Amino acid sequence: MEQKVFALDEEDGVRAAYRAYGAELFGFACRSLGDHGLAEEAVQETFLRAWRAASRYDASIAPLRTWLYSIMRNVVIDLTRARAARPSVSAGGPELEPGPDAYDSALVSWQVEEGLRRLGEDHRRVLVETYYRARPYAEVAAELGIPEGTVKSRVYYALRALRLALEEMGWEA
Amino acid sequence: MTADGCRRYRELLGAYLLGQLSPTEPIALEAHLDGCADCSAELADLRPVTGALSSADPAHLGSPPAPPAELGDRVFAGIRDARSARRRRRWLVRSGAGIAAAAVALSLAIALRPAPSVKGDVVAFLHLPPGVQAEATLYKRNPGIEVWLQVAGLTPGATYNVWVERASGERVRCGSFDAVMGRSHVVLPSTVDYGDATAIGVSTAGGKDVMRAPITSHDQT
Repeated sequence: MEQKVFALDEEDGVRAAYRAYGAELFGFACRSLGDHGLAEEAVQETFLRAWRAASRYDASIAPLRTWLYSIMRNVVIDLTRARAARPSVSAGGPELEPGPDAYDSALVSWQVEEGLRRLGEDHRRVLVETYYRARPYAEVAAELGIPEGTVKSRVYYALRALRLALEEMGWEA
Repeated sequence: MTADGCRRYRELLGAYLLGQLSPTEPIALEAHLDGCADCSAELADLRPVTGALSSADPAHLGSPPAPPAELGDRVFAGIRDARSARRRRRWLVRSGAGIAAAAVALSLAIALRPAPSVKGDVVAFLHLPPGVQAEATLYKRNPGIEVWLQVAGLTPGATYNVWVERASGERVRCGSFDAVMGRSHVVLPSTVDYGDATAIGVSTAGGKDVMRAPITSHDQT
């Protein structure tokens, strides 16, 4: 999916990578670490490690986004462990127990949420109402002022759009 | 089956997978799926997507927190520091492989070279107000220094000034920041030369001292 080549060993390349993925990585770090300060550290460390390992990055094996998330995985685990070892430093409780499993399941949640955020409002809305809020189709149709059949087909097109969005993020079923 | 005929069924696939069809609708749909490889393949394609839905938390669908504007600068500054350190190491390794007679010239060159500050000086704040935690690191720049400050426990939203004190006692303001909830990360340049800086501190916008840290060591060459 990666159209662009990021030369991570060059400052321009790191800047481009940060522009493309920095905000997203920060959002995920906040979600998994539950602390903005730590999340900032995690993003800095992730890009530093990416820069150091730039020669080992192969765009034909994994999209840059996937690679950065896998680097951040180790960074977040390190930071979570370090925090667990000095509990007095951070006042905010961790949202994650230290460990790879917790990171991976948080990452799956984050990816699906990010996929849903990328949907058009109409598509997201029908999934939220019918699936997450488990509301009857008739009720949702009345609220949106569209036929019930349209809600149903919209759910279908929303799932297709979500599949595309997830694939763009390197998701594999 | 015509494309239009398929479409009627396909548009039910989402609701079907999510168990949202009326009790009778699946009968006709399943009969169609039995005879239509394309629609069956579409169903198989969408199944993992519906499975993934359960791992999302609908409470988290709003905009995620955005990184502070200066985070990018800190990322690049960190990489620049690491790059300088790497170049210096490589240069040493290459030069070190040369003949022994070069050793004197080498050490001279190292001494004369404007060395990048790889590791900053961490300064400790004394007499912090209750509930405030702070740590500062100073990096030698040419000219001046760069101040990295992390501070927690200040009043969120309030503006604070950061200054560097000279040996003469003169205070030179390097900038200000608005405290955030949790830890504020601040990076500010100071025009005061590294060797001339004797203390660093933070004051309220009204000029009241909040904290001050003496700079005791100047380890950076």
